[in-house]
Amino acid sequence: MLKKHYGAVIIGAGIGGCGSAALLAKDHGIDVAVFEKAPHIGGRVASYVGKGDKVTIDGLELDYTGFRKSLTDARCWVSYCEPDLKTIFEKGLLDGYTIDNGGHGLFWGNKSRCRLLLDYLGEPVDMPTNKGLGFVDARTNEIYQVAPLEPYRWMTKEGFSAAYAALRAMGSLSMEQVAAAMNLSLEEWLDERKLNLNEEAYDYIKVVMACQNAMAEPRMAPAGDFLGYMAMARDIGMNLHTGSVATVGEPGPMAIPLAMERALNEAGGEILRSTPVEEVTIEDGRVRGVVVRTKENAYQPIEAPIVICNIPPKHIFNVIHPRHFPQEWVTKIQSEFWSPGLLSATIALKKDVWERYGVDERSFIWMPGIIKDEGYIGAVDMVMGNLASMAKRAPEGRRDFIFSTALTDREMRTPSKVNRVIDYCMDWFRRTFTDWKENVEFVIWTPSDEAYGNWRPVGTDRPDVKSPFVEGLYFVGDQYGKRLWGGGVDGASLSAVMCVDIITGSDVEHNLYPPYHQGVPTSSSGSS
Amino acid sequence: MASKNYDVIVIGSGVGGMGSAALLAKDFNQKVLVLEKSPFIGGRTLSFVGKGDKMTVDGQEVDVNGFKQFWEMNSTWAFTAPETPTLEEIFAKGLFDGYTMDSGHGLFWGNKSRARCLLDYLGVPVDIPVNTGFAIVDYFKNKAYQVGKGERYPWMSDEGFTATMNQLRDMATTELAALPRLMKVSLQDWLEERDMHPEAYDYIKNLAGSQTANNVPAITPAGDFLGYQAIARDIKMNLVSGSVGTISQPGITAIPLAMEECLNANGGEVRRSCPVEHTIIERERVKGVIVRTKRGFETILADKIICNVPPKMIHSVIHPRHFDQEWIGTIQRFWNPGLLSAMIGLKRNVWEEKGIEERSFIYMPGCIRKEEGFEGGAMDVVMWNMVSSAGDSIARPSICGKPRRAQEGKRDFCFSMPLLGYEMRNPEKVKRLTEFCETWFKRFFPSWREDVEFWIWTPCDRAYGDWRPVGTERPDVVSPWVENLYFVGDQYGKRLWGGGVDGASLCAALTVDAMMGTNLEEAIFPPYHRGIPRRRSW
Repeated sequence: MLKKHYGAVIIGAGIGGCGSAALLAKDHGIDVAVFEKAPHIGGRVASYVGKGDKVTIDGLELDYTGFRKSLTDARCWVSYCEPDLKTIFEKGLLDGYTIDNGGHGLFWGNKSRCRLLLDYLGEPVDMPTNKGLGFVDARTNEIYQVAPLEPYRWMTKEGFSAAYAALRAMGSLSMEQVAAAMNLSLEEWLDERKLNLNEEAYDYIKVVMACQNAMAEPRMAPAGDFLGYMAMARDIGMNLHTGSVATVGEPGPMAIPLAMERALNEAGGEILRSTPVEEVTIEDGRVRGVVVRTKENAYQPIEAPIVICNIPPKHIFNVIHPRHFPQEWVTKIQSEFWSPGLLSATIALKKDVWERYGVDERSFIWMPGIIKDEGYIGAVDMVMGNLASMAKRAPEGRRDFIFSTALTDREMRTPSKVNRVIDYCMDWFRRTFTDWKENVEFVIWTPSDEAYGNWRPVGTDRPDVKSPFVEGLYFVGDQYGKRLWGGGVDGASLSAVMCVDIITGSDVEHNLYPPYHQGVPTSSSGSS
Repeated sequence: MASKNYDVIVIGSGVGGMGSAALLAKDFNQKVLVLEKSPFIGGRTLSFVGKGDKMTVDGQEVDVNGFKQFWEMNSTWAFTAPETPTLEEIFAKGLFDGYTMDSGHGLFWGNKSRARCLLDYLGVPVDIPVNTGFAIVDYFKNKAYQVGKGERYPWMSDEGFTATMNQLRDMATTELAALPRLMKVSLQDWLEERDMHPEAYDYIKNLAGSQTANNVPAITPAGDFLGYQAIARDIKMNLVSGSVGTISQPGITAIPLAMEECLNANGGEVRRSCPVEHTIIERERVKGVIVRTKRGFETILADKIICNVPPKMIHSVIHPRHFDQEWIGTIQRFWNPGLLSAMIGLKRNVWEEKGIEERSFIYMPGCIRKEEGFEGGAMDVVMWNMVSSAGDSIARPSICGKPRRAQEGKRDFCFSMPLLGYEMRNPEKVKRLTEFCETWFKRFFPSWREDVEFWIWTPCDRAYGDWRPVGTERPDVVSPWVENLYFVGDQYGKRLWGGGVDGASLCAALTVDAMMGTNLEEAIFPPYHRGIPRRRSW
């Protein structure tokens, strides 16, 4: 139950919030409370399990209104369905399926930062990955399995060797070099090395980046964030054939925050759902605590010497008044930070549709360059996968089919651009899987304009995990930490560790993570 | 999840929201529901009434935590002056008992205002008495003067005064028809074109500051200020009478409460503590809203939605994908005028010994010099005494039968100065002004220790709605992108000018007219209070 005083208060129950809360409680015996405004935890990690004519998430049963609202809490929405959403629910078509909100990208599976953190907390979650790489040539509609180490068939010989040279250059970087590349855009970094001259190789790099950063434009992407992934690919044994997409069986990625909560509860901490923080109380440049709105609609002040804010940068001013920060910083965050979005679909299928094309259904399937010269900010490539074949996520014998592509937040908010991609994909799908009428149970497209947290413009540091302006105030999440790189669930896991290390003086980062999972070294940061 | 159908849902119960809801219920028999996220209605028109060791707001009692939190909901924060009781002490000792305290202290035109016209039309008048008298404090000579009507302002030279009066006369002949053109130039450009006497320039700049809560002429659309000057003659408003309006207990919140009375009498309803979480829009047409209640999420369907949320904040209830991306970029560049105000509780009338009529509007110009780097240049302070201005007037018997804004014999003292929103978020700038006022006050009223009961500063970084950059139009009351979506508030409406409570009142009529195809604007307001004339179509 709600107390008047806690050792630390965490605002928001995303991966960063739950992870840092569990670490503080378990390792340091701190009395922790996490306040979550939504009725379910996990932030942008929301996954739903169909149960009759409802879906369940985090113990809640939702009808189609609740589902729609819940997606909004996880920063995405439904833009296109077959049949309409109400019918999908009323007919119980979702029964037995696990579906994720807009973000379908868990990387590295059981080798990920996220999994290592869960292991450390004593609450492992299995994260199986893809096995195999399939390819769809968007021009010829040729579909085939790509064998490991085989030259990519869709490339010319020169293209492939240029792509391979680029991969080698990127794969041999040290973390210091990655740190030094943080203030360059990927475009500048490639240009300096003349690695962008071969068009096929350049397109390939862009696509690999889009899969990893949910963004496809090299001019907007800080090079270091992408190069970090490439640098560690060898160490981790990750490549497109294995480990590039991970998933979690029923109840889906929701299992991650729920596992963190178990660790937190065991150590005496708690998460309060549907309890929004209305204001962080700051006096004389120091946090005093928070004011929460209780379920009874009363305002309850709570004291805490430490407040950790697990809210994306552009949204923190909803709970912390901008007067507590320098105006330049506030303006920068509001006007220059942006978000990569993901446009994804889940299609429920009665059978494996890939078999007839000789593609292993557990593959990561890739269809690059679908829409060109139509004014999108980055290249529009489609990745596809079948999560139900990797983990138990559908009723016996059933499959799912995921479409996913990266668009910027601006594009995601332009219905004509979103619809163009959806129309392209649905048309391709019907053309390619001609017996779709018998096989498809439902189609749900979920665009998300903030699939990752808010990205900084190239040349700007990420906001740090410790506020330089307010004592006792910390931030956690997939875009906080001057030494952070990457993003998503794995970025949030590292950020959680960094945040707790700085609060308590511990060094979980270096004890828990292998070098390739650690943050970039400080010394060379910003000196390029 | 129960679904109820309404003709119109209004998101937010500010003056614009309540005004349009009441008009729709009363004149058009619409089934209207107003949804308010806060536990109190009125938006930025918030007032507190002291009752023992608590304060009451819109029928609820709050303690010191509730007091702080309610201010935060108004983009305002509260702190006390040094050497005066802390907020905790003010509450514990019941020092506030019987006082009324308002947010944003600027009601213009009193009973001649647009707000009053609208209240009269709705059949729920509220008395809005104004200041009587005008006084000047010469900071440098440490003296105060009462200024008689037509008398030369003692701080000005003869030439300066003559130039100022000529300029005011010139502005008073501005026609409302000229406002569309004047909206596209900044007040700075307009003033510079006239090459006027520096004293007149400063005076006019400051006048603009007290009317638009923005004393930076370079970013003030000239039309918003000149509109006020154009109507000054018709309305007989001047600094001596009518420049500041106030309302007796329960304070300015009487305006939305009176509007609610009208709404309820016509079958409408306001739900407090009922935040809209999401506006449902399908095929670019509104369908309803999802609200968060104590029991969970509830869907409420409606044919039309009016959004009474300031422009920069609408995306918290309506996803930006429903708007043009360019427009969202423009809105993010909107800015806010702020007000730095204080309320001091006094045991007696401190102006008497200075020979100042206490119901005066009191003005202390140019006290912080322009070299100090405030955007507005030299800073001016305005002061007045709400308790004596309200006198024995009764706001509205059904809302509060009690006259006066303080216990018998007691007074209040208000400080107010405009500062840009971002300056207000700079603690050093705020501190410079609060310390200046504190030092001056203690020097000017040597017996302050005996007289002062409490001293609460309330900086607000969004005293008006979000202002557009000069040259950009206000967002209109009808969404061009989503069918049946409307906006209301003190900064919506292509034909709106001015702002605050009066801007919101006019906007309420403009919104309802746009929705119903009527012309309530003419029925409710005299010509000088109406919006910018429509462009004639031939």
